[in-house]
Amino acid sequence: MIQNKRWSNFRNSFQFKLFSIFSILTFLISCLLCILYIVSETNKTRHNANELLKLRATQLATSIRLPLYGGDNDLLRQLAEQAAQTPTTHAVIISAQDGKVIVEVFPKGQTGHSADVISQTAEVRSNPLVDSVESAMTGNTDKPDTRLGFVRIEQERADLSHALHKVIVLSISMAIVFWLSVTLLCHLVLRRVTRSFNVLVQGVETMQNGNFSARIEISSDDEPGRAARAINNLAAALQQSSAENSRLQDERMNIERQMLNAQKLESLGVMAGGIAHDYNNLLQSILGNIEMASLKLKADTEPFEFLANATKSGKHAAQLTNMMLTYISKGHIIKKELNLNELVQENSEMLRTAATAAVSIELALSEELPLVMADEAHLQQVVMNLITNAAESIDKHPGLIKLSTGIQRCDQACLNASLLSEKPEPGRFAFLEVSDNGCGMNKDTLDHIFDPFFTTKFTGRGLGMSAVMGIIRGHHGALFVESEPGKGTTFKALFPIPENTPPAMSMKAAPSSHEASTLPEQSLSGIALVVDDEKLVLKIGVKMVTLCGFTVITACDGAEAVATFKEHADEIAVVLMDLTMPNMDGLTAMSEIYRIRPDAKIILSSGFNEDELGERITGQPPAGFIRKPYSLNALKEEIRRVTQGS
Amino acid sequence: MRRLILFIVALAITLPTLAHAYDVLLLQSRRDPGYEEVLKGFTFDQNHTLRKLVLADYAEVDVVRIVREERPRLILVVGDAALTATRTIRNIPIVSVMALGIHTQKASQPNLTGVGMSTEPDQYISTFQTMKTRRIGVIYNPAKSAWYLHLARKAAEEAGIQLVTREVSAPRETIGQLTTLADKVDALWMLPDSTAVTIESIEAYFHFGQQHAVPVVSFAPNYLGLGAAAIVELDRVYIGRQADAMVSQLLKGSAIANFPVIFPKGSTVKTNPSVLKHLSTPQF
Repeated sequence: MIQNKRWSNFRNSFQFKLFSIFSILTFLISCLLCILYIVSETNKTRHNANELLKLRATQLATSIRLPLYGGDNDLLRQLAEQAAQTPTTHAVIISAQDGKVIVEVFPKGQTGHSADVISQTAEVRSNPLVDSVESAMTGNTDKPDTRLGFVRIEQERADLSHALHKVIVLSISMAIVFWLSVTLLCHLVLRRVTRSFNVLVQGVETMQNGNFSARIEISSDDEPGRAARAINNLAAALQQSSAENSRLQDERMNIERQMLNAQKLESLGVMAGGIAHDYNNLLQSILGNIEMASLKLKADTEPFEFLANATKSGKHAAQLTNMMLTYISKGHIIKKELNLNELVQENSEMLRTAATAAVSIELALSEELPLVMADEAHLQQVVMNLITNAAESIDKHPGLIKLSTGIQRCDQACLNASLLSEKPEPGRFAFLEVSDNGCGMNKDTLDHIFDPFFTTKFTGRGLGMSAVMGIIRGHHGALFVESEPGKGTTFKALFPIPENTPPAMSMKAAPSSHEASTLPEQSLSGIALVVDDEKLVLKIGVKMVTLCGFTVITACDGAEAVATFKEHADEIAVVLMDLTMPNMDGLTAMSEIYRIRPDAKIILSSGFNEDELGERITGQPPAGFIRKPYSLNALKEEIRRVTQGS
Repeated sequence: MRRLILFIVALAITLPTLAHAYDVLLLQSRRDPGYEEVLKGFTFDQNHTLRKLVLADYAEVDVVRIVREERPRLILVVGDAALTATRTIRNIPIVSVMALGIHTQKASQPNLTGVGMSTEPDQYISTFQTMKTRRIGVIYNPAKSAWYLHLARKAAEEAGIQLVTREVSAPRETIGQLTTLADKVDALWMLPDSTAVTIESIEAYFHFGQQHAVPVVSFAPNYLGLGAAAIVELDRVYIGRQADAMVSQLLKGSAIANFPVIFPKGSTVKTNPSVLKHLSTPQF
């Protein structure tokens, strides 16, 4: 099949066509020349044979002049026999002036005249150089020419035929050799001439297959060479265009991926936001009631411990909802100046106590590291997640986790390697690097580690790295990961820091807040309006506000809250209002209340974080915000801050 | 009438006088350089008138009628054709030059004289003496050359040379007679005999001389190139002068009988050194 295709290609090639034309033309020319040569040589051979025979006859005529004139027939016969000894001579005939045959000689074996002979007759004449007596005496130049007789020599054609046969064979052989030589030469020349065309065609075919980086070799400056140069230029343009198209395609795919990611995030956000909102409302009811119940019990009693455990689980559930919100960047972020080194040091101490003895933790903390603006809880979550993952990758084998911090300057090229789709502006960054020599990750795992609910652990929930990604995105940072199966993994998180910020001087840990459930001070008083569509949440809210020292009036939605506030506008000291409610939501109700009394103290509460709330508020902001689920102390502090400015 | 008769008579008397307008009729066979060379020897006195007639210029010329009508005082013929044309003329002196047949025709034509074409035999005999040859082969036609052979024998005898002669009556006999001279002669003497020497037989002489290593002495310079060892060449201008002297005397009134045919004078001997060298013959 391949052979047939090659033959078909060769048969249709320019080289084959030219070769065929030249071969046929050369063959015809060779035949023509051969025929002309044969005809010429035949005529020449015949002419030469006749001339030679004529010369012999003339020679014989000259030699017999005197005996013929003198009538010496014996001598004439002797000379005739001598002439007849020449091979192929058929007859020698000497006749007198009147045509009478004087001597007729046939060689041995010849009996008489034959038709298959050539013959030449020569006249026997007096010597033209000789003067007669009178001419010699008078000096006359007119010389009489006297004919004395004739000589005829006959020769067989066999010798002539043999010579002609040799001429024909030689001519045909020469023609064949000439034709083959010219054909071979033609083939070599054509192969050389069409090589540039073949290179051109091969190059074009290569480019036709999409390889625009291929270039046609330019070996000459003739038409194919110029065509090759033009095609190379075209290919370069196409290559550039293709690269541009490829880049645009990549950009388009990147945008599509980002859009898809954004849509996914949005979908997840809507889902997570709804779940978190509902969960937080439920948790608010659960934790609030537990807290209220705990207030009725002694601390060392068994029911108190049960309630404390329930509170711990509730807070853990609240933390989970917060992680979901964090992944979709709707978590509650409270940025403040943080000493990253301190944070790392604290968490490493915690891990060191919790991890197995096989895991060694090494710290390489830069003293030049300045304070970073970040949410402490979130940053702690990042550090804990990364360290936990590193410890789990080491498992039970001896291993090393190295925690490094420092300052790094990144340009756009460096930041393009970030795993986050949103790239920060180039500049100065504080980095946190967590590396281990654990089991590492393959590419497939690396591609999915930031997907929500993706986990390689039996007990994992798949939200840790998603939260890390969301937190770093929320802090406008960058994230890098390098991993190789069997060798370990390195995560590097970058947080933007301003230029010329001084190093954090103190590495001392700040005292942690303590949420002890103690009775609130009775310094707050007045009428408080508590608004929530969830009855259980409303009920526990009423209880907590009451415990804070207020007289509480309630409303089940925004419209009722506006109506109630309008009725007691001058008496209500503070309003605790849910954000999401039927009939009229919290924001609309807040606007209406501000319209009634612009200096109203309104605290909005929601399962969403404050940032999202800020995005939705267009007019006057609320005096305070408290995120569900909140504790009694948190509520009391927020009310105090709002009402008393502390 | 009387005047007319007188006019006719006068015209009849004067017309022949008008026709006799010249003294010499120069009758030339053809226009030939050799003949012109002979004519250079003539002075032709200014007192004598001349008419030249070249026979080859005309298809047919009736010389007898011309002579009868024009009545020249003398006819000068140049060449054999012109001599033959005057064979029947008897009443006018004829002087012939460059004609081989002068001796034959003289026998039957007493009004003929002139200069012959054969050099005196003595000159040939002295040439053979120089070549130190004793036996000289001669082939001749008695009808044409018997008179010359008579003189030649006499001269040869005086010089102590033997002439070995062969007679031919037809040209084809020459070759046969030549073969009979083989080993019998030391040299060949080629006579200006138109029977013994023809275009066809001339080669035979030189072939014989080459074959038998004998020198051939001939009469014309053209034969030197063909193989003649020596030739006796005529001086044509001198022949002209000899004839001119005869013409002058005849025109002055001398009788033709006083002028026999004479031998040409001033001949010279020329040799072919190459042939002589090959034949080991003494050089001249």
